[in-house]
Amino acid sequence: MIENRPIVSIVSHIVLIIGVLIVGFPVWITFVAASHDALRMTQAPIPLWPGPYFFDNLKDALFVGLGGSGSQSAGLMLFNSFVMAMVIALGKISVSLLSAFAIVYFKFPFRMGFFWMIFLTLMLPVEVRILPTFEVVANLGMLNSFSGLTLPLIASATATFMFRQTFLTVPDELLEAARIDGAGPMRFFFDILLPMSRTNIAALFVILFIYGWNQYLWPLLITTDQSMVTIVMGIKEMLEAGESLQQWNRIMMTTLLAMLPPVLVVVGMQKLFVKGLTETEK
Amino acid sequence: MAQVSIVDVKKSYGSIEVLHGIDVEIAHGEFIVIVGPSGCGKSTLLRMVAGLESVTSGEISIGERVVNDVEPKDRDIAMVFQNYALYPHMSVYNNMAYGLKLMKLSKEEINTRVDKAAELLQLEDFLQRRPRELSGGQRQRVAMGRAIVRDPAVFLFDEPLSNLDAKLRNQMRIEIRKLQRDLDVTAIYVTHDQVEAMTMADRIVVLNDGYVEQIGTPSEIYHTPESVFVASFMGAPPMNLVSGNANGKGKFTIEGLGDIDIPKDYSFTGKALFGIRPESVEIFSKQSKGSYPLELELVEELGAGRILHTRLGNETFTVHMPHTDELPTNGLFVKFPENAIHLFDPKSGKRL
Ligand SMILES: Nc1ncnc2c1ncn2[C@@H]1O[C@H](COP(=O)(O)OP(=O)(O)O)[C@@H](O)[C@H]1O
Ligand SMILES: [Mg+2]
Repeated sequence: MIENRPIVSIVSHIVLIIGVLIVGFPVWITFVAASHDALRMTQAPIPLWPGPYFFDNLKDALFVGLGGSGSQSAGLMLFNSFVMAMVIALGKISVSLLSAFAIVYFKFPFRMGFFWMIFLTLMLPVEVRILPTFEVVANLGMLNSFSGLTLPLIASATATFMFRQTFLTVPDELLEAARIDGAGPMRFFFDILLPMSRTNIAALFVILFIYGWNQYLWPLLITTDQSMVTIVMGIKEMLEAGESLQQWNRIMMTTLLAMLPPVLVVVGMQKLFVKGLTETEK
Repeated sequence: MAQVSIVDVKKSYGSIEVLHGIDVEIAHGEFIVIVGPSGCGKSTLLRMVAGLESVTSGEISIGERVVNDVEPKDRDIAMVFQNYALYPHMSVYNNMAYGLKLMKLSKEEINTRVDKAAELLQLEDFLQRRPRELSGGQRQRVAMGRAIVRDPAVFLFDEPLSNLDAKLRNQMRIEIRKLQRDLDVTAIYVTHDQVEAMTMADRIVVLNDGYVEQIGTPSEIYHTPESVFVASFMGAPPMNLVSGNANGKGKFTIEGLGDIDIPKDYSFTGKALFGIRPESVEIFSKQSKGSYPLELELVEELGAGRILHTRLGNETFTVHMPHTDELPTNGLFVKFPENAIHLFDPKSGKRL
């Protein structure tokens, strides 16, 4: 809708600005809290403007953590989260690409049966199957390991479904042209299907990376070893680490750090992301 | 040398048979056009030659070799698809080179072949572009180029021009024909457009509902159609087919008109179809011996000629007359030259 009346544009801007303020305020408070010393943060009223300790807090949070026993530095937690999110995102994408490829391009018995079975798992996210999954992971001895953190989250119906739809839009004649050119199934997959799904893969990567990064319940359950703590659950543990007063400055700094990688991924891949979700021409 | 022979080939999808025993012998260097209405099985037949569809029964050979169970890439063929099927993420160069890379040819050899094809098709300036940055005609050329670089024994075309506008279509028709002659390859070309079939083919295969109706040169197909289907499918406007009774002695009775003379050597008696092409009749403004009255209903002006929509007795009848002839204003009479008359059996649809 194209409207040129100034009043409409003023009102819509006001609404947008209010929205941005509502979303931005907590982030601002987090940033402010991360730039004061621990003492200032315990006094009321809480500060609304940044203080001088930002880089000190950054150093402490990254390399020391809270400093007490059983607490981890944000550096280690960031690393753990990053590995987990990457493995989940890339794992989900590879598995779904291959399963979508199998379902769309190969004829095998119970093909649609398998498809619907994959589809049904949409109804069974980790939270629903958490006890049996925990049992399996524990019996396989994968507690406190990256494989335990990631494997149960990798199978993905959504991604399989999305790639299936993508592949279905690829004209059959392309496959036939490739066959005449002498490409076998895997060549066709790598040389043609994969590059053609590039933007879809990127879009999915953004979504899945954030999904993996934000995992909370599952890591909380299966990691007892402090060296495996991820940053999202780490923040919560910092809040509970209370021998003394909560060190809001370092906790908020850690929170800031936890927000950073997803933001970087979204900003960095924004173009591909939008293209992948909207592009229809093949 | 690559002759293609298709012997008693049948194709079924499940329990539905769509091709019912096709026999075609194609000589080396011949340009064969398979023509028929949409859904008659043209593409299926072509795709069986390409190896993209399995052969239910019968035998297809290319050169001396039976290829029923040979992979498409090993059949020494190349195919041009209706919507070109270019790889959208590859440059024009890579689109043409992809198959050659898979053949494990050397870099220089690939380069030479692609450059040669690009020159032949005037694509040199576009080699680094993506297909989406090309016009329809250019994409069509790239598809041709991809076929040419394979240096195949047989070219297969599946309605390659149907997505182009009329002008470009005429131009590409000539180019394809020239290329095929210059490269001295055998070509099988599928189309539903009878003009394409007539203008391009050495021989035409008319396909209808999974059966071969007739195989012959364009002139044979046009002048001696073997069936009512061929007579009415080939030629625009189509052949006039008037039903009536033949008496076996050179007379044909049309309801509402009376008797007309047909050649005496038609011995058939009974219900028959009298066929004559709109452009083969002679038009007069005065009644004379052996002419019959037409009732004019509509005139279509074509520039190079006119089409008269008329009635002959109770039947509709079209006449195509050259623009040099005056349109008779009072009275319209028609004569049927003996050698232009065809007679068909309405039951079997076959020529009598
Ligand atoms: N994969 C398929 N499965 C079932 N029927 C098919 C298939 N491909 C084609 N057919 C049928 O075979 C007939 C011939 O199709 P086709 O060769 O594509 O016709 P055309 O002459 O238009 O190229 C059609 O009736 C079509 O419905
Ligand atoms: Mg077709």
